[in-house]
Amino acid sequence: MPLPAAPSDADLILAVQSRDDRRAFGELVERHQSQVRSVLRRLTRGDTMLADDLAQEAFVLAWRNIAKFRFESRFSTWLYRIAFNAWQSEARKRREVLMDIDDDSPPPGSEAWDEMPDVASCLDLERAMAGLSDGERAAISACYYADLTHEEAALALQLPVGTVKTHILRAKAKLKARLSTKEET
Amino acid sequence: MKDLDTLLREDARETIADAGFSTRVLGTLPAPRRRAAWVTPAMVLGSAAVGSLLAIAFAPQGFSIAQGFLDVVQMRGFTPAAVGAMALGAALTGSAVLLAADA
Repeated sequence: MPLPAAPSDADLILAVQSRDDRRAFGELVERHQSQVRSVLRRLTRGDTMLADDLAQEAFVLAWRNIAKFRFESRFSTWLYRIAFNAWQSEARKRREVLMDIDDDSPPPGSEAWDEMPDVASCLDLERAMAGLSDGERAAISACYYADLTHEEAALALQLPVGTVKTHILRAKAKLKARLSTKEET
Repeated sequence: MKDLDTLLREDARETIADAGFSTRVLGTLPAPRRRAAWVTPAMVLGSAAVGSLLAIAFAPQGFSIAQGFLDVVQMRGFTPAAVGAMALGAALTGSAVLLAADA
């Protein structure tokens, strides 16, 4: 006998919208917590405590505002937008400058990236990412860690698509340079 | 040998164990603040009514809404009364559109 199919995100959202179903919202939290926390850890440069606090804040805001979700985008896109806003508010409190494009960053090169050595571990990557500008980190987090398209990332970050693409190119150029330097030392 | 894309995607695929996170989130959810169904229509219609009453109260002497509607129906042009009646009609239509959109 086949197992009943798990409810989709849309089914769960409708349950929350129609009858404030906390259990359905709990299921949504369980499904998305890993990616949201992962994205926020990258955004906060590996500060896991702050990232989890912001993730919790993002889910609470999602609960408060889920009645306004109109299914015009994926739930994850909407959720990341809330998470990015929570991170931006926190960053503003810390007087950081957001979404800047550094003019002194290395220019984007070819789309065909050289292969990276195996020794470039996730830890090295985390350190290299911490050195990116806020805008670059946000774009990489959105497109790789939140698995959004450039268009969805632009929507979530409230930036033009072209700016998101520029951030990605610059970020990848910087990461490649930093990870290569790490390998040489 | 891995390219940067692969490295990023592999790093992104690593899952973070829930470890009580979801339970903590559910524990902090506030009670839903549902506005009673009648509140929005009452606010929209109330605003339209108050606006209309103020418009009538401050209208020039001799102004008559009924005359205004009559002027509109009889196409007597943009008499002051007709403009007032059209403004009132527009306010009520706007309220109806708002209510329909909210439904």
